[in-house]
Amino acid sequence: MSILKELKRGIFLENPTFRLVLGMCPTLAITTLAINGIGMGLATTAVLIGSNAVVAALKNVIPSQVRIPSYIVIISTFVTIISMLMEAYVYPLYEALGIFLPLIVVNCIILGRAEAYASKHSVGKSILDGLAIGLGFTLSLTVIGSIREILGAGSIFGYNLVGENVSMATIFSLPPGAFFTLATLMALINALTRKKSPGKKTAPAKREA
Amino acid sequence: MNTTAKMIIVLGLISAISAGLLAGVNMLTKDTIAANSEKRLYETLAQVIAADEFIPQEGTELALWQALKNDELVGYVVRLTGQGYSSAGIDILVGLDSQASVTGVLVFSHSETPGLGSKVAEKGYLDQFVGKGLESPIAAGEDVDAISGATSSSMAVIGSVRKAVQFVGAYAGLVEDTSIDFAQVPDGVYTGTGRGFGGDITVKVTFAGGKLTDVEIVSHKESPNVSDPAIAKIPQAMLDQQTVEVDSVSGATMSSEGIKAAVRNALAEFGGEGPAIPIDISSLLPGKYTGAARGYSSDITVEVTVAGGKITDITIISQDDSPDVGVPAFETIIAAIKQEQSLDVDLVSGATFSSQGLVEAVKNALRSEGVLDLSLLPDGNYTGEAEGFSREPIRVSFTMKDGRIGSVQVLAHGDTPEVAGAAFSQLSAAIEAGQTLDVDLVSGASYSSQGMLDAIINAIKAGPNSGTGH
Amino acid sequence: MNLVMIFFGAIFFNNFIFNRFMGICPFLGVSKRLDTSVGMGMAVAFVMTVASTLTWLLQKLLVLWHLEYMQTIVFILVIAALVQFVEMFLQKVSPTLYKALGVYLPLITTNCAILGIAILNIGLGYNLLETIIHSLGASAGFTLAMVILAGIREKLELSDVPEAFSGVPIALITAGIIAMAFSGFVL
Repeated sequence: MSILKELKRGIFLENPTFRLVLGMCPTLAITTLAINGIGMGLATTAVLIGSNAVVAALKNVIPSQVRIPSYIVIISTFVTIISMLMEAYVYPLYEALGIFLPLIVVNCIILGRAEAYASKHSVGKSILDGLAIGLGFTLSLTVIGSIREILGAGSIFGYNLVGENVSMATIFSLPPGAFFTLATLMALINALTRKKSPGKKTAPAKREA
Repeated sequence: MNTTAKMIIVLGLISAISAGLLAGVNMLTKDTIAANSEKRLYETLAQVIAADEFIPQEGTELALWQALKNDELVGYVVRLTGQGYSSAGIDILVGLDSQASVTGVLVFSHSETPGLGSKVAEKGYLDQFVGKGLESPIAAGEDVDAISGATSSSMAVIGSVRKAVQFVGAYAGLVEDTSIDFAQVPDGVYTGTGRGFGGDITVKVTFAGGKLTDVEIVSHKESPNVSDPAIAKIPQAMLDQQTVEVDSVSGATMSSEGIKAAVRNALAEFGGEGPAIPIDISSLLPGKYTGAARGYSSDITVEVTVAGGKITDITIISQDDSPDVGVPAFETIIAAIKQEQSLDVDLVSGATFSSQGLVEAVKNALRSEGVLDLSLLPDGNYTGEAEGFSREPIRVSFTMKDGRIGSVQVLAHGDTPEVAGAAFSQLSAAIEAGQTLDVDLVSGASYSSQGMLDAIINAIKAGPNSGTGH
Repeated sequence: MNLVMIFFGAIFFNNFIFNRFMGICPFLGVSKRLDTSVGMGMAVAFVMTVASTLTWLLQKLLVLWHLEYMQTIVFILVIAALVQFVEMFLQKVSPTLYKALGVYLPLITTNCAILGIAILNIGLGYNLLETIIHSLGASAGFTLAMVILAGIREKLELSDVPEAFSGVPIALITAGIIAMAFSGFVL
């Protein structure tokens, strides 16, 4: 029950992309295709779980003055490991994510979770938090990627939906389309959550933070 | 103190562990990554040419593989990066057979816009290059298409394929890469074309006094900003260094190579061995011709006198070859040329360099413009035509008697009478007085003056008592 | 490639915000007001240039010692240390400058444009001079993007924006429209 709650919090109530507005660079940059969104999301999730676990385990060892450099070392170690593994075993995805793979290091979501959550909670809870937030991030990227791929290239996960000779709204594959898609989705989520009772949605988040 | 020590120890430990972890994972994945990338590479290479083994070539300007099938060389694969719309560039593989004809093109990595620039990576587009070779222009709109709306992506691909063809052509020795000795090039203006990034580049190359004095780019289809440095720098570098083989301007390599190719094309007949156009001694105008070529120790400069369609005299103006070997050889060669009235004479054995140098010097002299000597013209009446200021030809006639030119009559012309008439009589008087065609043009009527002189030259070329029937 | 092309290319064709999508978080966070945008831009320009110079030199060492796989970790540590150092240095040497830029400095460590350009310069094979010019161009482009957006957002505050779009969504829409204008430099 607590696991479900955590997941719900990470994916919906504290969705890093739409609610916390974190990690915007990869969100906009690599979501030209749905598969890139999934790949980026899962890579980030893996790093998030790893760094959360290690930070939580070492929370009593690391002196508070050097905690930020320590977190950065831990995070970049995981990022480098993940990117080496991806280069070895899922090369096409490694290629597609390009420079944004090493840039996971500076994704504010990860440092943010280490500082705000993992440094104050147990290893188990921190892993769960990493998983939940990571999945929320993955879901957001996949949704944005899907919308942009369908509208911009007329396909979904590489599967052509419209046939060869149909021109799609290429702008959705271009940088402006990234901004428009994200803005519209954000506004949509704002509108939907505002309709529900406002008190209910903040309550669980408050308890955890 | 305790906390400081703890800080350092903890941070150091974390760093050490992470460095160890990374080194470990690197060890584990390194071989897989390398093996994968090689496997991927060969699988990819096989898509552009039917081959089963690829041998990377070292030290080449572009990444090049020899493609082997059943241990036999079937062609080459070139990898290059074209600058398209996205900053990452378009990585292209071009497969070519042993004659440098394209067997396949593959865009194997690009970050062009999906649905737009990405179309250049589609097989349907790339198949248009198959079969194109050294003789094809490979230029957008000529024999290959660019994708509308994705011009920069298309141009990057087209330019890369063209470059690959030229590169393999040169590598496989299909394109003669002869260096041009500027000392061998007679004075004059030459035009030639070469292939740049966007299409043909046409140049006008001027030689004067045995030196390259001007390289003018007459027309080109290069992208304005990108090619500017090449257009500005390459001709000047050629003038400064007196060679065609100057360094290409980085970022505008294709344009640089195109200009160089155009200049080489303009001077093509002077590269390699001997003249491409045979020298017809009998059609030479009477006069003195000067030329130089490299002998055994330094340049040999000669003055050749031509009269009545024959070489009547060859004087060596300067030379540095040995008096014992070189000089006797010169005498033998000069006698032979005068006797046979041909430049295809036997060289003197034991003095090959001296005799070859002399023959080349004579050839160069005869290819140059020379100084016309009217006194050597045979007697008779001469008539000739040439274009003046108007479209009507200027028609002249004159008489030679005892080696002297009489007054030149203009029989017909369409130029403005009040301007041209005075010019014609002024020139005629100057020619008769000086017994030379080396006279000043009349200012204000330079076209008419030049037309008259051209007509006289044409009359001399036609010979005495001919051409009247025109 | 000549330096002028690299410089203006980084400002317009490959604008860090509108084309490379790097540094979006500070772009959205700080661009509410014009003066803070300029301050952030200056701080980024400074750190970006120094950081990419340092990382370029370090990369030579990494290659020498066959430690290329340590690139990410080394670069981010250098940037973090540099930001810390610059902060202390400014505080001591020029309190005025520190007052102007100081608040933005901690935000810069996690600005992916800094790490991004350090890695990009290596990937593009730039030499040291090209690296510096590229960094200057990129930070100029970053500042330009922020100043444009801040100017518009200041006006937007007085406008009647649909409730669901207020805040970040309308800023993103604005950014999208500016990005369309910027894509005009390329096509």
